Amino acid sequence: MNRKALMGLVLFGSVWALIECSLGDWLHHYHLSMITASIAIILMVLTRYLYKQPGMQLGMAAIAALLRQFNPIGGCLMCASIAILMEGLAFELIWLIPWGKYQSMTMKVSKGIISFYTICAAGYISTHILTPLLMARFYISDLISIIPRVLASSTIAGIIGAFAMPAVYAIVEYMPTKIENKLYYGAASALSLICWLAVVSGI
Amino acid sequence: MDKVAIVVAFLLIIVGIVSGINLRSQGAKVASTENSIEVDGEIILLDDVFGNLQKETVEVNNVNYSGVRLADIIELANVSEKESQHYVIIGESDYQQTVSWSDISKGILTEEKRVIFPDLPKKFWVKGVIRIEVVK
Repeated sequence: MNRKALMGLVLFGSVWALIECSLGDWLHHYHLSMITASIAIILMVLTRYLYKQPGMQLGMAAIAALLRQFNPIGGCLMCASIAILMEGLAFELIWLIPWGKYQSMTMKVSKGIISFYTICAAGYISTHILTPLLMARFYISDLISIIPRVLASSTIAGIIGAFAMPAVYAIVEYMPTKIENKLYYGAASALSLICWLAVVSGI
Repeated sequence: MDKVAIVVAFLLIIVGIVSGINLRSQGAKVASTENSIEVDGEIILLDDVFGNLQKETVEVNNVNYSGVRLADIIELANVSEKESQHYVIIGESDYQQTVSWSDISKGILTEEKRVIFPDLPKKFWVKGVIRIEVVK
């Protein structure tokens, strides 16, 4: 991975962590965590198009999951970190499919629904498997009981994905492809630092 | 590939909508049991629970939660060999979590019908408890 992508990994991983710790906590109270997950997936899609670096999004997820542990506010920090990490892993797996060859609007919408839905569902389910395994005891009946809830709530993410995916394609078209190195590294470092301070201080 | 993707996307949305409708209908069913919980087949009225049992406050992450000890509620239901059993706590929408006696003995049930386990992550804190099943 080149230096620029590595800096992008740190920056967008930190932004993801800040979103999880601030907006994510707030949305969780209203059972709308799928919106937070959708924003995270939009970040992953955007960075995949901008940097074209497979593996980068899993790295972003690792940074966000690690930073989440330093946030003093929130419910189950372990659950949140597991979900974030698994969303990154699910994204990498889904993007192994050669989607890039197909550029029609129908394909973009379908890709949005499939990837957003499955990534959210993977994050949700893996939390309910790994948290009990790590902190208590895992019961398959408990997992089965949450499946309808997972399927239902991931639909929100799927619908967001139907609109977000074509939107990301359109945004990427108009984004500047070249930023001066000095400006890029300076701005990325400063923004990452702001995100870390905000996360650690509990914003 | 286009057609396959459309079909898969369509199926995911349909499955999600059907699951959502199913969850809502289950939520409507439990409305009738609002003032009681079932523990190992025994119907226990919440007025009796909160009126007669001693309340306890537990602190988790600097937040205080007040409620009745789950162990006392299990006692009301006359569960035999309670220390060796596991307890399936079932909430609205059939969300459930299984815990051991050591967790039950530290847990409380709040007046909002939410269980609080100080030593377990919040995913175990089932809301809108309607039933506690006892399993070996």
